Amino acid sequence: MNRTSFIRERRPDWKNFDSLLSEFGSKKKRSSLTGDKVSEFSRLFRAVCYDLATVRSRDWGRDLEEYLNDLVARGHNSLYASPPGRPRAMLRFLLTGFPQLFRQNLRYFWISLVLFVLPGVIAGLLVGIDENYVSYILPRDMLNQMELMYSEETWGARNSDSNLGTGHGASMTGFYIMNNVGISFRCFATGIFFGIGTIFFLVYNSIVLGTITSYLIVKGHSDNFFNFVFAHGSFELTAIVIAGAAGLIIGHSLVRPGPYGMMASLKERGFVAIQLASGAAVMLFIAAFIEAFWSPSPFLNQYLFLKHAGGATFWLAVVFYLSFAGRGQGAGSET
Amino acid sequence: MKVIDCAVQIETPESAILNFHLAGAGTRAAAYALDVLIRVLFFVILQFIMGFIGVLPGFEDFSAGMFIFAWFIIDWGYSCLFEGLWRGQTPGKRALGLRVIKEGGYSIGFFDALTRNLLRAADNPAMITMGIGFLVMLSSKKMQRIGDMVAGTIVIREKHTGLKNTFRPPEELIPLESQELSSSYRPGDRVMGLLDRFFKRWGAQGNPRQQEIALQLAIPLAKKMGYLGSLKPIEEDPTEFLLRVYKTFSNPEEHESQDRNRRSRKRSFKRRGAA
Repeated sequence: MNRTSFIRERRPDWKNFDSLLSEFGSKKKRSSLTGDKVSEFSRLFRAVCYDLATVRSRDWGRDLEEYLNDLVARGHNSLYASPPGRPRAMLRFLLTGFPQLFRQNLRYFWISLVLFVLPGVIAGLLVGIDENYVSYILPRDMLNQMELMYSEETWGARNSDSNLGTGHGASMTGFYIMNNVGISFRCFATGIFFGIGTIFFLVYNSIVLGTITSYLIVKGHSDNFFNFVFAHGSFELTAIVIAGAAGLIIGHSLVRPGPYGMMASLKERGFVAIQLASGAAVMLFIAAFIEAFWSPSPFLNQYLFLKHAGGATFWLAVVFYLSFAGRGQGAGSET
Repeated sequence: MKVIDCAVQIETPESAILNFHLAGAGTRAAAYALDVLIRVLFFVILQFIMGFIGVLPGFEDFSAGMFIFAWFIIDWGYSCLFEGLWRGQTPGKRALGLRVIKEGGYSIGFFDALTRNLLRAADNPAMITMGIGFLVMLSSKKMQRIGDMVAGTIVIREKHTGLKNTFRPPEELIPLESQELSSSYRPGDRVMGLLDRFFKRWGAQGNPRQQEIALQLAIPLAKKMGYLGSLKPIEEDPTEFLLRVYKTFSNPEEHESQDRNRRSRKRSFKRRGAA
């Protein structure tokens, strides 16, 4: 068989395969494919693979080879592609997969939690012992601004000012999402530097938060501060710790790669980490809405009991969700 | 060799070897720059829209909030969403013919897109870690960023080629006569394929550089075929000789069978019928 007769003989199959490929490619047509067509597709695919090997071994020209290579690549793509992300799969992941995955990697969460709490507590204690330590940790301007934000005057004004309703909320949601999700993603992504980046961001944010909290307590604004942060802290702080845990997973996979080498362990553990991080991102979205609409609400500030009950509910919801959701069910994650 | 031509080979479960061309750092940077430009454009448009909404009484904060929210979506979501939904392409990548695929040769899923783009926070050139991501990419065998390594993806140059027609030699050219050749050697499919590629690339004009290359081919070929004429004219215009060889041994049927256009195929059948 020479090149010419080969092309003449095989060309109809290639054309058929090409048109089947476009049917497989479009979503609408794919759902109406019959069984015959699918088996025809796989038969043609194997035939084209064989043709490609033939052309390559006989060196029948680069054009022909590239054409067949392209056909095989597209066929390979259609047959072995990962399933498209469906909204239902996403929902299932959030309801069962994410908490399951969280519990499987609990020890990273505890380490991340310690890193996120301990430095802050120490910094806070230092500030509590001697207020002047503050100036070593944070710039005065920032602290003054914080103090102003939670002082009685501002707080009182905010509660009576009807203009600071939903419009204010919308503007703040945007800001909180931007800020917190950004922090979490950085916490997660810098885990790639053997976990050092994650540890740095966790400790850094911990110290900043601990210092501010302690300073506000010392200055006597603690009531306003805790009234404000109690509710959304449930989702926000937990999510940041989870993102930190995800970063630690990546770092650990590099420090202790196991028997299959760095790349393999990075890929395997990285997939777990990214699922945790995206779950944390969703939690931060929820936190941002609470932070913008619930926490500063003038109405709730008049009925503090209601506000605290709500905040406690949020905390309980987070704890119950993470410890019990998806328990006793099959794997909801994609691992 | 492989590093230079940026080829990567993947073996499918059918034992077929697939070749992919990796995208170089330059092309990828260009695609990225294009994406940045598009994002800036989004920003400008967004600012206009939100500016107009912000003028309405009571919507000042709302528009500011929506602006920051949309900023976030564009900042973090742009690449994730496009690559997740467009099977591994952003507008910039599409414009430059690039695509992100899995190392196994198939298209990426949503989590893959998320992984490789969220890790941009680590290998983004704007960070303190400036350069690390770039160095990693240059030193990796498959031109992978850190994000690519974790997600197990590669960025390839993609081209969909139809089956091209073979080169058609000029009509007025005189084919070689069998009396002119003394040996029984005739160029096979490999040599003809080589000539086909050669003429497709250079044309039939015979510019100086082409002549230089053609000379390397023409003299051994003439000797092997036992060409009885003088070698002098071949040395002067080796391209013409190669064209004659090509015209003599290329199969005229091939042109017809490869015509993609059905109408032109019909016409050529008619022509053959008449001849």
